[in-house]
Amino acid sequence: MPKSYSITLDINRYDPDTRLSWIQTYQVEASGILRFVDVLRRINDEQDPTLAWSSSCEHAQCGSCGIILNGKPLLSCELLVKDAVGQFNTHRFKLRPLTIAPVLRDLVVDLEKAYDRVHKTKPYLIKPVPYQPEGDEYRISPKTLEIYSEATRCINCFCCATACISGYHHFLGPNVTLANMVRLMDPRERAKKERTDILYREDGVYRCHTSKACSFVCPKDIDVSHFLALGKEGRF
Amino acid sequence: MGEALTVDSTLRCDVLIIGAGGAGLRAAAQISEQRPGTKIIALTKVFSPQKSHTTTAQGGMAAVDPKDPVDRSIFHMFDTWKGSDCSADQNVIKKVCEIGWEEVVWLERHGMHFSRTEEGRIAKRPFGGHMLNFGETKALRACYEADRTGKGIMDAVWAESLKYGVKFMGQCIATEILFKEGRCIGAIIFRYPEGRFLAILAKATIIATGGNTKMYLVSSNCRGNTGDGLVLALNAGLPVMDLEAVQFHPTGMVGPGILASEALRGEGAILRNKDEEPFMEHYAPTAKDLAPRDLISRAIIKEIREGRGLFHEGHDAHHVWLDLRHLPKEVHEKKIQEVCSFFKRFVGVDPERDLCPVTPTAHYQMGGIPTNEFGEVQNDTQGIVPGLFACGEVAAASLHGLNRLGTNSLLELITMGRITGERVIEYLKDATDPEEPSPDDHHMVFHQFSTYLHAQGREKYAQIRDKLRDLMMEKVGIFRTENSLLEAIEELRELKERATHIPQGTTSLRANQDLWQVWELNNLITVSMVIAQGALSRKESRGAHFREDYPERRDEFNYHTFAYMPKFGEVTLEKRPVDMSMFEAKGGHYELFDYIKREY
Amino acid sequence: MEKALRITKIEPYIISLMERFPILSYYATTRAWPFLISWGHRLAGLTLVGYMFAHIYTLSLLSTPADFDADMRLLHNPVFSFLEWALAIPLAFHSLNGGRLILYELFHVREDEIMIRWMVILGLIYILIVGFLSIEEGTQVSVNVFWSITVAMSLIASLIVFNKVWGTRNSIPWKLQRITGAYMIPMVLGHMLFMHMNYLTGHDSKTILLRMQNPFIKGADFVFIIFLLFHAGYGIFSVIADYIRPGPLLKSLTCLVVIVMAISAYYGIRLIMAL
Ligand SMILES: Cc1cc2nc3c(=O)[nH]c(=O)nc-3n(C[C@H](O)[C@H](O)[C@H](O)COP(=O)(O)OP(=O)(O)OC[C@H]3O[C@@H](n4cnc5c(N)ncnc54)[C@H](O)[C@@H]3O)c2cc1C
Ligand code: HEM
Ligand code: HEM
Ligand code: SF4
Ligand code: F3S
Ligand code: FES
Repeated sequence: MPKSYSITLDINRYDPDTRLSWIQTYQVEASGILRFVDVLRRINDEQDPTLAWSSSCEHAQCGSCGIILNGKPLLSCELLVKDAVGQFNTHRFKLRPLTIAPVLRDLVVDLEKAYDRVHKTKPYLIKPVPYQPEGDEYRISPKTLEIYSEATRCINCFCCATACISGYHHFLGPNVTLANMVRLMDPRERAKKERTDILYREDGVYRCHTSKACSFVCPKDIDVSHFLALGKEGRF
Repeated sequence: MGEALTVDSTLRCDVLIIGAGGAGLRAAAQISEQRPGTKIIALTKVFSPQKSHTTTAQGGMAAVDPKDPVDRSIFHMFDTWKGSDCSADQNVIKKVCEIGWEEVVWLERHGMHFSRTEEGRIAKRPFGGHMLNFGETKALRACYEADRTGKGIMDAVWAESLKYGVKFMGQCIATEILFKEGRCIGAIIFRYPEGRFLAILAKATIIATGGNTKMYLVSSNCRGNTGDGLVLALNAGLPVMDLEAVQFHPTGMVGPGILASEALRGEGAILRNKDEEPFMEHYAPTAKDLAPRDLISRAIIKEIREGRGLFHEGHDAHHVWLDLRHLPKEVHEKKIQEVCSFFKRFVGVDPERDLCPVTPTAHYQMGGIPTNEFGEVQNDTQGIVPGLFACGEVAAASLHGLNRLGTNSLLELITMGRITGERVIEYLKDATDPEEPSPDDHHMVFHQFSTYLHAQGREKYAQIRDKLRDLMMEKVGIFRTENSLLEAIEELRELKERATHIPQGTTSLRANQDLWQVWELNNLITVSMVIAQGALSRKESRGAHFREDYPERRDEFNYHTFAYMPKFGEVTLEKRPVDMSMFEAKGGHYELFDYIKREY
Repeated sequence: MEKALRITKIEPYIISLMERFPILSYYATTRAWPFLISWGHRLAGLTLVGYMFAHIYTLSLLSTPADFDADMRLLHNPVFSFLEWALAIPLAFHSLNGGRLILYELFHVREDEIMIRWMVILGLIYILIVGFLSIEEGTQVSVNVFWSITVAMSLIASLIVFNKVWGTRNSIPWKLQRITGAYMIPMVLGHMLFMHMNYLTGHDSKTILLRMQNPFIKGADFVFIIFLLFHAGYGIFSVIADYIRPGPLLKSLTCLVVIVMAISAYYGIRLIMAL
C-alpha cells in the first residue's frame, strides 16, 4: 500500500454573503497518491461541504484550479500529496486563492474577470495572410513552428501572473504577453504593428523585469521569461 | 432565503449558445463570419470557453485531404460506417467526411498551430480504425497538434469568436430551455458567482454542452460533464437517442482515469499483459493495437478477468501495461510530451523507462439529442423543434452510431458546428424576436432549486455520487446483462429518491458549489437511467454496447433508439431507422455500406 | 531547490547560508532566485538614487571649497568610510546585474545561471578591490589615462547596446535606460574605484577642483551625470508604474520625477560649468 500522510491544511476562507474571511484548519488523512483536488473533495465529502474550490479537467490541461500553496502558485489538480510533502518539506499546507482577481468564495477566484486581460491581447490572427491560391493550408516549416510552439501550450492558469514581481494589477501579465508573442512570431499574422502596439503598451512588456518567477512556477514548464525577452529584443 | 426564486433580469440576443465548447463556438464563428452583426451569447459552466472540455482532447482530428496520393474520403466514410458497427447515419457520414479537410484548413487559417511535416504541411498520424483501401493498412489521417489537438481547436474557435464579438458568459449554467408555442425561445440560466437566475431570450438556441460520462467511477471527462444538455432536452419532453452507446477508452491512467491518448498507440505504443505479452494480436490480428476502442477495452477486461492483468495497490484497481519504452526519444519529447508528463506526474512512472499502467475509462457518449443532418433538434422521429439546434458531443446526428472512431469526434464538432451555424443563419432570415414569457409561467427550475435548498434528511451528496459511480461502472459498464441492468434501474430509482434528502450546508445562492453539485448529481442520475433503459431494450451487442447475454449483433436492432423521459423513470422508447442513403444511392463501393461484418 | 544555482562548490554553501533567512528561502522556493535578484536590483537601484541625491548635494558645496572640506572632515571617520565602501555592494550588484539583464533581454543570452555566477564572482572581486584600496591608501594612477580608458569602454558598451536596441519599436526612454545603463557599467564602477585610489582624489577640494579644470574630465562628468539622472529618473518611474495604473496619477508623478531630476541636473551641471 502506498504511504498515507496525515496533513494539515490551513485554508483561506471567504464568505461573499457576510464578507467575512478567516482561516480554517482541516486535518486530513490522505494517501500520498491523491491530488490536492482529491483532498479538497475529501474535505467536502467528509468534513465540510461548504468549502468552495474550483477545477474542471483535473489533469493540468484547463487551468481552472490554480491556488497558492505555501506561497507557490500552482495547479491543485496536478500536485500529489506525497510530492507536496517532499517539495515543501512539511505536512502543513497553507492554501490561498490566486491574487489576480476578486475571490468569489474560499479558493474560487473570478478568473472570468482575469480573462478580460487575455481578450485585450487579441489572441487570434488579427489580419491573416491571404488564402493560398490552391486553398490549402499555409506552409509553416517545423523549424519556424518550433520557435514558438512551446508558448502555445499556455492554458491561462494565471499562476505566472500571480507569481510575477510586478503583480497583476498594472501589468497585462506574463501569460497575456506570451499570447501576444505567439502571434507576433506566427508567420500567418500580418498585423505586426498592431501587435507591437499591444506589446509596448505602458502596462505591456515594460512591466516585466525579468524576475523569471513565471518560468519557475509555470505548470506547463513554459520558459515564459524567454518569450517576454524576445519581445524586448524586438526580433520577430 | 425564504423568498421564492425568480428570474432577475432578461437578456436578448439573436443566437444563444448553451455550451461554449468546440462545437458551440465553431457554430458561433460561422454565424458571425457569414452574418456579421448577429448578437450571439455563448454560455459556459467554466470560467472561460477556453477551459471547456474540448481543450483536453489529445490525439487528433481525422480528415482526408482531397489531394492525398493514397487516402480517399470514401475510405474514411467506410471506416466510420464499419466502426459504428453499421449504426451511423450515412447522410451525415458523407457530409462530414467530405468537408472535413475544408474544416482543417479553416482551423489552420484561423490560427491553429497544427504540427507540420518537413514540407511545412499539416502532419498526420494513424489512429484506431482508420485504414486505407477499406481496411487494409493503417492510414495517416489524424491531423494533430502534438498531443494537444483539442486545445489547438478550442483556442482557435474561442479566439475567432472573440474576434467577432461573441459575448461569452462564464460560470453560467443553463437550467431550463424556454418554449413558446412549440418554438424554442431561449433558456433560464443560473449565474454561479452571484447566484442569480437570468432569462436569455433568443431567436435561435444551440445546445452544445458536450459529454456526460461523469457517472462512471473511472472517467476521462471533466468535472462538469454531467449531461446537463441531455437533461434540458428530456425535461422539455424531447427525446434523446442511443444513450446506451457509451464509449470506454481502453487506456485511461490507472487511478484518476486520465486519458492516455490513442495517439500513443498511433505512434507505436503496445499493450501488454502481466507476462508482457502483446495481447492485442489475439483479438485483432490486422489492426492489433490500433483496433477500435470498444474491441480493445473488452480485450483488456478479458485479460484482467482471465487473470492476465495486474493489480495496482495504490489505486486499488486492475490494469494492464502500455509500453512506450521503445519509442524514439524525439517522439517522447515532441509528439507526446503532454501525455508523458501526465504519466510522470499522476502515476509516477517515466514512460521512457517504465511500463505504464492503464485501464479502460469511460470516455464518450455516442448518443445524444437527436438532430437531422443540419443540426436541427428532432422532437420525434420525424419532426423538428423550431429554433432549437444541437451539435457536438451532446448531439447525435449521428456520425458515430453506436461506436465512434478516435479523432472522429473533433471532426464532428467542427463540421457539425459549422453546418449547424449555417442552418441557424437560414433560420434567422425570417425568425422574429421571441415574446417575453409571461410572469406567471411556471418554471421547473425554481421548483428544483428550492427543493435542493430546503431538503431535509441525512443523505450525503458524496455517498450518493460514489454509489452511482460504482453502480454504473459495474452494472452498466463495458459488459452488461439483463440482470445487471434491471438491478441498476432499481438502484437508480432509489438513488434518485435519496438525492432529495441531501441537506444544504448553507442556503446562500452565491457561489454555492454544493447546490450546483446536487443539481448536477440529479442530472447524472437522470441520464444514467436512460442509459440503463436503452441498454436493457437493446438485446444485442453492437459497437460500444455489449450484452453478455446477447453477444452478437442482430439485424432486428438496426435502428436508433429514441428515449423520452419527461418524468424520472418513466421511459418510452421509439425507433428511428438508420440512414442508408449511401447504400441506397448504389454509387461506387455501395455494397460496402450494407450491414457488413465488423472485423479487424 | 531544484531550479536554483548549483554550479560550483561555493554556491550550495551560499545558498544554505541564505536559507537561514526565512524570507529569502520562502521566495527562493516559491519564486526562485532570479525573483529575489530582481528585488535586490530594485532595492540597490533605489539606494543608489538616494546616495546620488546626497552626492550631488555635497558636491554642490564645491563652489565654496571651505564648506566642502568642512563637510568632508566631518565625514572622515571609520563609520562613514565603511559606509562608503559598503556602497560598493549595491553598486557592483546593480551594475553587473543590470548588465546581465541587458544581455538576457537584448542579446539573447539564456545561460542565465552562468551569468549569475559571474555576476557574483566579479562583484565580489570588485568590492574587495575597492575595500583593499580604501585601506591601502596612496595608490597613484594617471588621471587622464584612467579616464580615457574608462570613457572609451563606456562608449563601446553603450554603442553596442545602442546598435542592438535602437532599431526596435521599444519606447525611447526604455531604450535609453538600457543604453545609459550599459554606458555606466565601466563609468560608475570606474568612478568609484578611482575615488578610492587615494583618499584625497575623492574628498579633498583642492585635488578635485584641480582635476575638474580639465575639459576632458568635465566632458566625461557631464555625460555621466546626464546619463545617470536619466537612468535613475526612468528607474524611479518604472518602479512607480509597477504600482500605479496608467492614468492621470501616473502622469503627475512622472512629471514630478522629471522635475526633480531636472533640478538635480541643474545643480550637477552648474558645478561642472562653474569650475
Ligand atoms: C480526454 C479526452 C480526449 C479526447 N481526445 C479526442 C481526440 O483526440 N480526438 C477526438 O476526435 N475526440 C477526442 N475526444 C472527444 C472530444 O474531445 C469531445 O467529444 C469534444 O471535445 C466535445 O466537445 P463539445 O464542444 O461538444 O463539448 P465541450 O468542449 O465539452 O464543451 C461543452 C461546453 O458546454 C458547457 N456546458 C455544459 N453544461 C452546461 C450548462 N448546463 N450550461 C451552460 N454551459 C454548459 C461547458 O462548460 C463547456 O463549455 C476526447 C475526449 C476526452 C475526454
Ligand atoms: C552601472 C550600470 C547600471 C546598469 C547596467 C543598470 C541597468 C539597469 C537596468 C537594465 C535596469 C532595468 C531593470 C528593469 O526594469 O527590470 C535598471 C533599473 C534601475 N536602475 Fe540601473 N543600472 C546601472 C546603474 C544604476 C545607477 C548608478 C542607479 C542609481 C542612481 C540606477 C538606478 C536604477 C533604478 C532606480 C532602476 C529601477 C529599478 C526597477 O525598475 O526595479 N542604476 N538599471
Ligand atoms: C563613495 C564613493 C564616491 C566618491 C568618493 C565620489 C566622489 C566624487 C567626486 C569627488 C566627484 C567630482 C567630480 C570628479 O572628480 O570627477 C564626483 C562626481 C560625480 N559622482 Fe561620485 N563619488 C562616489 C560614488 C559615486 C556613485 C556611487 C555615483 C553614482 C550613483 C556617483 C556619481 C557621480 C556623478 C554623477 C558625478 C558628477 C557630478 C557632477 O558633475 O555634478 N558617484 N564623485
Ligand atoms: S504561462 Fe504557464 S503559468 Fe502562465 S498562464 Fe500559461 S500555463 Fe499558466
Ligand atoms: S515573473 Fe514577471 S517580471 Fe517578467 S520574467 Fe516573468 S513576467
Ligand atoms: S483542473 Fe484543469 S488544470 Fe487543474
